[in-house]
Amino acid sequence: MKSRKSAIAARVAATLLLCGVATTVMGASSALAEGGSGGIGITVSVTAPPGGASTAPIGSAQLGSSGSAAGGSGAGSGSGSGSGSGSAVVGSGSTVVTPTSPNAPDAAADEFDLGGILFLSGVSSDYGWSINPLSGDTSEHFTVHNVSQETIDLTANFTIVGPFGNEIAHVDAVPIKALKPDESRVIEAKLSGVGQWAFITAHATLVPPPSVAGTPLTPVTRDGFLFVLPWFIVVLLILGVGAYSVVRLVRGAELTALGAPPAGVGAGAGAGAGAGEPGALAGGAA
Amino acid sequence: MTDTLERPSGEASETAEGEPTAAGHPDARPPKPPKIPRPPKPPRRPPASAMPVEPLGPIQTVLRGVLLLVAAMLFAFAANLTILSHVQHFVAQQQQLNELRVEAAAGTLPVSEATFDEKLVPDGAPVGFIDIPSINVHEVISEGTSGDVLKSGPGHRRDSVLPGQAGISTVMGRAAAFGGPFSRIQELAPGDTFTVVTGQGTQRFAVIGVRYSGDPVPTFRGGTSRLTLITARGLAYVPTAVAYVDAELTSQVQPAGARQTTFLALPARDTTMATDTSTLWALVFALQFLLAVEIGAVWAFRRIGAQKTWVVFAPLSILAALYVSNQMILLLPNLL
Repeated sequence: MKSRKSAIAARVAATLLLCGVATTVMGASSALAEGGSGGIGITVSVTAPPGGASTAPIGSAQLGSSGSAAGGSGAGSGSGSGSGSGSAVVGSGSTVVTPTSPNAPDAAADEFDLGGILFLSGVSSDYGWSINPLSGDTSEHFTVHNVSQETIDLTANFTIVGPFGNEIAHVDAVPIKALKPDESRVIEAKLSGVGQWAFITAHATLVPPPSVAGTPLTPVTRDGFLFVLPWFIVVLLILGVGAYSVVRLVRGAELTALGAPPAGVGAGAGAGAGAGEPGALAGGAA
Repeated sequence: MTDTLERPSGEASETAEGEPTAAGHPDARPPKPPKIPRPPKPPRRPPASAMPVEPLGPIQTVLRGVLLLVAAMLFAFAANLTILSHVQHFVAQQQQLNELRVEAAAGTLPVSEATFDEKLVPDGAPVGFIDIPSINVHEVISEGTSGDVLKSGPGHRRDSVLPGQAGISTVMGRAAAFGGPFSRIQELAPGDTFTVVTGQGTQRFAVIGVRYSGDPVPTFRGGTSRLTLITARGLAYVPTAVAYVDAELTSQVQPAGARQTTFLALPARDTTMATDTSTLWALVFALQFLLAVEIGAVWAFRRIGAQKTWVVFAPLSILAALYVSNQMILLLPNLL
C-alpha cells in the first residue's frame, strides 16, 4: 500500500518535473528560433515601403517663419491656463486625450502661434561631492523657452527636500532677465547642504509675470529626483563592521595565546572563565 | 609540545587512562599533556537558556512554512523587478530589433494598424525605432501599451497615428523597471532633437516641452505631426504621477495610415498607469505550479535526501518564482 502510494507520488513528481523542464526547453527553443532570424546581415538600411515618402530635411516649409535654432518653434504648454489664440486646449484632466485623426483641433491655416507662452523641461540635477558630511552641493537646472512675441522677465524658486519631505535648502527669486521671443535659456541654481539625505527631490517653480500678451499666467512647478550615496554613513558602516571583525580576530588570537600553554584552559569560555569549566570539559571528554 | 608529540609514538596511548597518572607520579607533569591533542572548540557563548525548546504544533509548523514561502516569494518578486527585469528587457529588445530589421529590409513594417497581410498588428509587434542620443535612448517601439508590451520597451498607443504621420502620436515607456527606457525623458529641453525610424523612413522631432497632468496641452495644428512621450514621474519604482514630453515633427509629414482603434475603444489596460488584469488566470496557474514544486520539493527532501532535491528543485523553484513574479508585475502600473 505504502509502496504503491509512493510510486504514485513519484509519478506525480516526475510529471511535474517533466512539465517544468518542457516549459523551459520550449521557452529556450523559441528564444533560439527568435535569435535565428538574426542571421540577416547586420547593417540593413531601412527602406521605405511602397508609397512611403522620403524624409525631408530639418526645418521644412511647414515651420514657416519661426527660425528657432533647434528647429522647434514651439507649441506652447506653458503656465497659462488659456491659450492666446483661442484655439482648443485639449483636456486639462489627468489623462490627456490625444485626437487620433489629423482633423482634430484645427487652427487657421496661417496661424502659427500654438497658444502657449512658455515651455519648460524637467529639472535635472548634478551633485558636487564634499568632504564635509553635512555639506555637499547640488546644481539644479531646467530650460525655459519663450514662445510668445514679447520679452519677458521671470523669476524661479528652487527647493530641495529630503526623503521625509523635509526641506533641505532653497533658493528664491533667481532672476531671469529679458527672455526674448523664441529664446531658450537654462536656469541654474546651486543649493548646498545635501548632507546624507540619500533621496533628494528638487522642485523648481517658475514665476512668470501675472500676464503676458493678455494671457494670465500662474506659477508652474517642475520636479526632479536625485539619489546621492550617503558616503559618510557608508564609511561609518564599513568602519563599524571592520572594527568589530578586528576586535573579534584580536580577541580570538589573545584567547588562543592565553589558552595554549596551560593545557587549553579557557580556550573559549571568555576572559573570566574559571578553571573549573575547562576541567569539566576535559573530564567529560576523557 | 615535543613531549606530547613523541609520547603517542613512544608508547601505546590507547591504553587505559589511569596509566599515565600512575606513571606521572615522579615529576607531576605527565598527567596533563595527553589532553592537548584534543581541542574541541567550546561554544563561543553559553547555551541560550536551559529551557527546552517546545516543539511546534501542527498549525504552527504549517504557519511557519507558509510565512517562509511568502517571504521567499516577495524577495523573488523584488529581485525580479529590480534586477532581472532589466535583463529581460535587454533580451526582448534584441529580439525586437532583429524582427524590425527583417521587416524593414523587406519593406513590410506596418504603417497603419494593419500589417502587410491586412491583419491587425498584434500587440508587441515592432513598429519603429526611437533614438534620443542626448539621454542615451535607443529602443524599438512595439505596438500596444499594456504592461506586458511595455516590458520589452516603449509602446505605441494603438489609437494614435505612428510617429511622423499627420496627427498626434503617443508612445509610452517605463520609468524604472525593465530597463526604464523613458526614465530620463524629463531631462529633454525645449529644442532638443531626436529621431524615430518607422516604415516611412526617418522622422525628426524637436522637443516642445515637458508637461505634467493638468497642464494645458500645446495647441495642435492640423496637417502637422506631433509625438508625445509618456512616462511615470516620482521616485524610481514609486511612481506618483505622469509626465508628458511633447515633440514636433521637423521633417516632412507622412500620410497617416488607417487606425481601427479609437480612444474609446482602447482597452483599459493600455491607458496611462493602468494595470493589466487580463492574464490573472495565468497568475493562478503559476501559483499552482509554484505550490506543486514546493510540495514536490518537501516530498523529495524527505524521501530522497537534500542533495538530489537541491539539484532538481532549485531550478524548478526559481522558474516557478519567475512565472509568478512576472505575472504579479502586470498588476503594477504599466509605466513603472
